[in-house]
Amino acid sequence: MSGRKRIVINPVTRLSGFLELDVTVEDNAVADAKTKGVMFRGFEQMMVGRSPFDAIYLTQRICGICSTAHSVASSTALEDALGVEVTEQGRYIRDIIHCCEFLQNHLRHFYQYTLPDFVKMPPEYPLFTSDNNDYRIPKEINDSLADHYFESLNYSRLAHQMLAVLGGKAPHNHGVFVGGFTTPPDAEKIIHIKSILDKISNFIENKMIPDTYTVAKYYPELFHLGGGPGNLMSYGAFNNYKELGTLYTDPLVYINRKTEAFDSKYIEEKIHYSWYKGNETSRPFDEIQAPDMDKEDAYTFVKAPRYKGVPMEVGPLARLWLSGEYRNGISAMDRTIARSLEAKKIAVIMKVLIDQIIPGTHVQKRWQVPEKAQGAGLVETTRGALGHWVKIENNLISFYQIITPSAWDFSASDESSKGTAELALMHTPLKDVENPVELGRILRSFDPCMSCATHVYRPGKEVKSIKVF
Amino acid sequence: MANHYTIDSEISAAFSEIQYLIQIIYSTGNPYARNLALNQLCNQTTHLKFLVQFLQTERNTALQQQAKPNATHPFQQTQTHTIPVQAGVEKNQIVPTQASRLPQPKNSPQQLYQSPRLLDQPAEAPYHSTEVLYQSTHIPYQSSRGLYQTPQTQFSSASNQSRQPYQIQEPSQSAQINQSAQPPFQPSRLLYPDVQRQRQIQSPTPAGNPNGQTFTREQLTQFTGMNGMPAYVAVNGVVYDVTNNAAWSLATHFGLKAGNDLTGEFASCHAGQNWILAQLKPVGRLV
Amino acid sequence: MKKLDIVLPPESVTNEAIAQRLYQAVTSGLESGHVKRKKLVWLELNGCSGNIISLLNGFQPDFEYAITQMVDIVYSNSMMVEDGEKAINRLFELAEGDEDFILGIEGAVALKNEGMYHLVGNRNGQPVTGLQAAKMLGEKASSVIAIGACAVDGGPSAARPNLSQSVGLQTVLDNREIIKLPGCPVHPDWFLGTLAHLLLYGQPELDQQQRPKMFYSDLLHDRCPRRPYFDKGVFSETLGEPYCLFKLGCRGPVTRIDCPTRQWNGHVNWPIGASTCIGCAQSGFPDRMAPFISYNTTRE
Ligand code: SF4
Ligand code: SF4
Repeated sequence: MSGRKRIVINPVTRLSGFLELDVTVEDNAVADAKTKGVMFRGFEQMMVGRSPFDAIYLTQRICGICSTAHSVASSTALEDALGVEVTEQGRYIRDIIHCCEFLQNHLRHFYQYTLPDFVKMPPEYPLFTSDNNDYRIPKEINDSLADHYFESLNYSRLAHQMLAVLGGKAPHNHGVFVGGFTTPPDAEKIIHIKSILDKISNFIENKMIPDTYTVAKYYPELFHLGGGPGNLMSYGAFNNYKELGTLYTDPLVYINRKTEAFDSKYIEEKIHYSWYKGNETSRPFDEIQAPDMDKEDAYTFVKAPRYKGVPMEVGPLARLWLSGEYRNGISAMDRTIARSLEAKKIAVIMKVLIDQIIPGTHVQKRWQVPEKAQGAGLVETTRGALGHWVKIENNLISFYQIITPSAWDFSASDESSKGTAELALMHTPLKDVENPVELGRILRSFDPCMSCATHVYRPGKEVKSIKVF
Repeated sequence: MANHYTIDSEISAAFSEIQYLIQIIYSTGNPYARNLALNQLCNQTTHLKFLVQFLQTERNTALQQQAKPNATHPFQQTQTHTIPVQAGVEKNQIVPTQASRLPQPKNSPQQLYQSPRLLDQPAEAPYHSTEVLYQSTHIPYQSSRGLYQTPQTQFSSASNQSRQPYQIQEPSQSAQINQSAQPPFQPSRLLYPDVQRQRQIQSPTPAGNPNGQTFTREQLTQFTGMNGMPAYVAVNGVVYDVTNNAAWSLATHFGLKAGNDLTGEFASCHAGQNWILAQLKPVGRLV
Repeated sequence: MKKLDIVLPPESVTNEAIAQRLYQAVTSGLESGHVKRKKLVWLELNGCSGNIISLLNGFQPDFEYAITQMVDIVYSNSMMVEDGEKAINRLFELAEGDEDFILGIEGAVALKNEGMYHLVGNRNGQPVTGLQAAKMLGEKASSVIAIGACAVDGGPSAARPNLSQSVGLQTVLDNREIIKLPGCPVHPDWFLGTLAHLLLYGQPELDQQQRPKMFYSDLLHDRCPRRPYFDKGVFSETLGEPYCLFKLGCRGPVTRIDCPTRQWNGHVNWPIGASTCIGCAQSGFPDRMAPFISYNTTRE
């Protein structure tokens, strides 16, 4: 067994939530990889028995960095269930609020989460000290990037301020609701966010995108690492406006090098290797499987969402690829570049949407909850495709299902294939097994949000299947 | 000449009050107590200024004019114009903000008159029983008053010595004066001419006589506060209306629902706080 | 320090102004060297990690200022560069050493399966549970701050049916005083103001629920700009109207917090500026504050 080594990284820091990485290395390359969410709260079960409207505010608490995404998905699912048709103004403003979240996320993910993998931060602060010795950017450029780490904080903060102007506060806004948004903005608010957006767009164009390419220049090997399954999916982002058409991408999938239309009927969750009992494969509206830790073969509590039976990658790269705007490749570095380019794209979309606002348009009504109904809310959020499925009975929520983007990207294995991030890690050559910086770089390129992914995960006993040493 | 002494003693009282307040400011770490002390300090200096001015004018005219204590007493004057005391008005009257927020001497007639019930409220109530403050929508400013009053009460009792002059003023006397000066008015109409959307203010039923109606437990469950039904809850056999009670938004209160007998819950959360019940509107008995 | 002990007119004595002065005092204290830079451990437990995001949202003082001028953050899952065992070892070094540090915890403690429902890391091949970390550091820290609703009393992580058996910090650290900062998430000023007070003047004055009085003493409803509508009985029929939201489910009347005057995200807006208050800064959120919104309430 010489040359074989197990590496467990926990915590994987600089992401939202908790992730354990468990890899087996053979001849300095990854031979097996498992990603495990190590927290559990059970949000789906929490929703059962609550007033349907509460889901909009409570599901936001799944995740602190992308809470708006959940409010958008759950209000969309409720609109579907309640038979509410959203006005265009309602959609515009809700999407603007969502855009703010995209900007906040992308800025923070690139500068606070990704950059310290590549840039040596000022070592006088313990937060930044690290044993990583693979910093290659020349000192002068390195230091200016480190300065941008601090500068960016101001812009991500402003992105959340825009969100608060329309949504009350951030994180966990109060502005997204059935019908679109709650309080109509007036001209003062509109100009407030416009002026902030101007500053943020400047920063993205003049600092963030150049910085991304600087990183890419000094770490070119990442263009060949972290590929993954190569299947991409999007539920459709900023599309299908009555007057504006599609501003970003339509619901599409890219499977076996072919692009085709997305159809939600192909979404399923598998549990063959997961500690659940029930149907091997189930659709989002089926029952929630009961946990079962004694199940043979199972190694994790993570379920495995699949589209047409294969694992999919979701997120900025998938969206840019499917909209045809970026086709350089699918790799860890491409993912990071796509994220920065998308930030710019979002700022442009947001400008278009802001110009459509008619100040003072009231979209709220006295929404009535039907006795019995069901609805789905499939939306594209910062990290990719997010779905909420809700059933209502006796005017209360009787069933809730959430499949988050990070559940797609960090999904478990099934009978025929590993999960997306696991595949991306496989066969990665490691320069220094003691200091496997490559692993963190690849993982973070997915922008993992384990608070989200792990709302249904549960940690198990020690993983039984690993007894190879 | 008695008047002179009164003013002199008021001045010296004001001085010792100021000294006392400065001590408080030095010694307390509590920003609220400090805040209050500062307010009082400002009041006291204004008062002092007034007294000094008064004394000067009086010295000039002392020989010609005999002062009539009851009519021109400076203390009364300030009291009269800063604190309109509403005598003989109903319980649900809206109390002027300004007056109720200003720190008042403990024995001021206004306080004694307006809220005798506040005196038996536990001193810490505003800090620890967060949920109970808004028991009555009929007395909108009760909470802020309670809040500001708490440290105030403490000061007063501590500084009783230096407060002698305030007690010259007899509560009854002041109430009389104000009553005659200011006829009882209808504050709701006066303050809020827009009466169309105004909340229906029910006239209070005396708490001791809730016998108007009886409810069985089953009947009580219908009063959920939803779909047009009022929100009723029962405590100790009495049924109260909480439909417009601020602490009962959506007819729920910290997870409790209207339409239930909450005797046990009340006892476990609000032990010794029966004044809360006194503020609710009883509508009948639970049988 | 002495000159700040007394607050005299014409300086403003609002909560905001006092907090602002505290921040300034920290700077001057640090510059003159009589305040020592303390270590801060920011431990994320079972929750959404939204409080650290909220901390990044702070304007004056901001996060940059906090980490460069106020404290040395030695551990933060979301922000630190180090990861894996090297990161987790920092916690054990602090727990075993005798250095002073302040412990800030966000998220609830999951008790199910001896804490296995929430791991903070892995050390020597053994999982380190959130429960273990909270106990180990909580007993050692010079002060413990529970940041956000989940850390205070379980919050959303402990919402029924609470399958992870999450509880607030006090349940596992029953013998020690914890400064509690409820809120979902916590406002950056509430945390940084408390921290500033700790550094400069020691423990801030707490109310009966161990919340700093400088932030948690005023009833939201008393300072709500929509209050005149409440008093007149003018209630919104739908969200987005400018009237009182009481009949739609506003929890302002049972929530003690300075949201209306402090406001959020650089003081630009607050929840009631958009919709109802859901009582996130009150104990018992979310279960005891539910339902949040309903259109069927009886009016009159
Ligand atoms: S909106 Fe809420 S906090 Fe404001 S006055 Fe109405 S009930 Fe009170
Ligand atoms: S207004 Fe209410 S819900 Fe909103 S942050 Fe403040 S306390 Fe929480």
